[in-house]
Amino acid sequence: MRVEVVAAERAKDVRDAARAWHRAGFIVEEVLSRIVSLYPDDRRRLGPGFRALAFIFAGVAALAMVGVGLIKATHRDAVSGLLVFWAVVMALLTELQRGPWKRHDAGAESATATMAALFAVVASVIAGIDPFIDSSNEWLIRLFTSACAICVVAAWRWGDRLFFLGTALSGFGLLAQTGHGRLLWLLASLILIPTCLRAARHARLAPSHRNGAMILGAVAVVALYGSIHIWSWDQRAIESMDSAAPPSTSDAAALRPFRSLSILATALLPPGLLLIGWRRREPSLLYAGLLLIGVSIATIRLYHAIMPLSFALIRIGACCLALALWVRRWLRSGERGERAGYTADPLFDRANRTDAIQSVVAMASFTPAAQAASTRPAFEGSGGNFGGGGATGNY
Amino acid sequence: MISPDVAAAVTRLEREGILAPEQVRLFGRVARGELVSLKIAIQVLLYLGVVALTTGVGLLFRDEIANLGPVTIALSVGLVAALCLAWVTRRSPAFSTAEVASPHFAFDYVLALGALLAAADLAFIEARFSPLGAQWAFHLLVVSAGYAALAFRFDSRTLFALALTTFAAWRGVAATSVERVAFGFFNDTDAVRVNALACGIAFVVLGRMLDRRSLKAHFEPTATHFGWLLILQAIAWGIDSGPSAALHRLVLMAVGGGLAWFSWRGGRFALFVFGVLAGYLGLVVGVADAVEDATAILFLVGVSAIFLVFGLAAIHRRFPREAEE
Repeated sequence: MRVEVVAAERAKDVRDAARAWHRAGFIVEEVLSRIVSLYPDDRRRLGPGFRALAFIFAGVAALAMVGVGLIKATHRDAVSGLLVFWAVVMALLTELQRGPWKRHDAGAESATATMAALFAVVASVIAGIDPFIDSSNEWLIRLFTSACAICVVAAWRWGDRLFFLGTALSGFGLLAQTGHGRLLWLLASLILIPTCLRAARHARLAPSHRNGAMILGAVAVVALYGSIHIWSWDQRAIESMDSAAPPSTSDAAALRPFRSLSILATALLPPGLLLIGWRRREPSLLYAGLLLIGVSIATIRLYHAIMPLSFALIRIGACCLALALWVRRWLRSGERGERAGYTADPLFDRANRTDAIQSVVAMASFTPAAQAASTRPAFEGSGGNFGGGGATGNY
Repeated sequence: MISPDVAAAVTRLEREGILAPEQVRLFGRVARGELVSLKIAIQVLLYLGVVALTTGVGLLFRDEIANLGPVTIALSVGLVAALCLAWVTRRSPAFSTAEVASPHFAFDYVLALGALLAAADLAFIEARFSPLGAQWAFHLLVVSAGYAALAFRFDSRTLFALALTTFAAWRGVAATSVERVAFGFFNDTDAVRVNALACGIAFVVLGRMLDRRSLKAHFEPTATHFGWLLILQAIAWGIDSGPSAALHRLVLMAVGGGLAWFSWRGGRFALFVFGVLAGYLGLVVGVADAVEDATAILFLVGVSAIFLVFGLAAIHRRFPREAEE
């Protein structure tokens, strides 16, 4: 990535954090202004809604322009050449927007980057091969290989999340075509998950690359669960993705120990992720663990219907409600409203209510910038209003 | 937000005397991932709980009716719904025409659970005992009115949105079952389209009234957005074929363009998006119909989209909430 783009992303992270502190009433307007002036923005950005609109219309424009050429093209090589030409044009347009034009989070530059990658992938797939006629899995391998390679380059250069997702999906898709998909998914996931978790907090990486590492890690967690899941094992789900693989002739007896291991892993992996996530204070692993516990419960029901679905859902729903209420109460009853580094309340939100946050707001009122801003009392016991020191008082 | 850049910035801001030590301690802990909020996980669990419970109750109606009997099921579900709504009533502050802060973190979920269970119970009673007979569609109107009453009393935008969608559903069902008998000159499609248009206009007017009379004025965006979606959808329904397709396209362009223009002047971003997309849809379909050559159509679509991209970049500062920085 360009050095100035990385610097702009780092500064934006700080400004975003400062705005969150301001929204929650931890810092006053003056402090926010000083932080914003220390970490200025040299990019031209659009808000999320405009960005989405600009992305859609830039994408429509790119597709329409390529369509104009494709109508005239009669031969597959001509189509491929045309797509390569437009991929280069889109890549240059992206560079122009992100470089000299200093556009970031503006939608159009993401659309041209996406179109550049899309045209390049399609061109590389159809060059010399017709996916509609060819019956082998060569075109599929070519698709996954080119998509993975192009997405890796685009993710490294532009840092868009879509490219990290494309890298992960095409990478695992490619591994599934090798004939040893399950084993390779397992190994790749076991390597990727810890690597991505480390990368996601690595100070030297650009913020967009850190976010991308989280996406890669999330896909790797799903792939790991998919590779050990009992239903996936029974249905040979990963093996069936390999279009060149012969029908399974494996001896069921020889595979029986692996099936038992798969049952065990399906039951143990989700709580394991939850436990690791809790110990490392890694929210993504915590959420993955919670989600996969739900999937494992559904899997158990798929194999052994202990009770009617209606009763099961009612009990699961009641358990979810009870667990949510208990976790919240347990966390809030801890010292300063937290336990083991966890809190039940939003950290930087208008709705903070924990004692920890209340005390910090009170302390914040003693900061030099905050002292003169308000004459309201620092703490009002009735109704939980906070003020003084320029805090917003909205709780 | 876990971010090494923010952690480094917090240290710098402390060094420069911009942040106080207590602020630095909290901000630094959050940036380094030493303090994590589980608020989202708790909310997801609550949401899943409500969804699983209501789905389970729905399945219970279907599966256990022979064993438990319809009266037992109707009474037990009604009892649970009543308990939920009683808890909500006990917790709720007095009625106010202004926005009211939620008195408990689970308040909205319990209210939604109670309302959904009550609606499911009514649907069950209607399906099982048919008290309304051939006029069964009016059951939806009753549910809509119930949702609306709860929404205003307990200040729930979720229930207000449910009230509007249920009302629109009632019009949709009534259009094809009841009004076909009364108004024979409409076919089913036209009747649904006219009803969608009328509902949309009614919702927009309702939104204006709520805003002007300061009666739960924060409900206004829900009514207005939903109303405009229905209006544009009703017009867009007829743009591709039929004798009045050209007229529909023109109307869609005009209404979409007008909506975009007025919402731009009023700083209403969501309505601006609706207007732009509707106007552009009308334009593209109109161009595709008027021009014979496919190359020319694609070229015009591409050029118009490029103009829109530059236009959006030029006018986005009109929307302060949309400007992130």
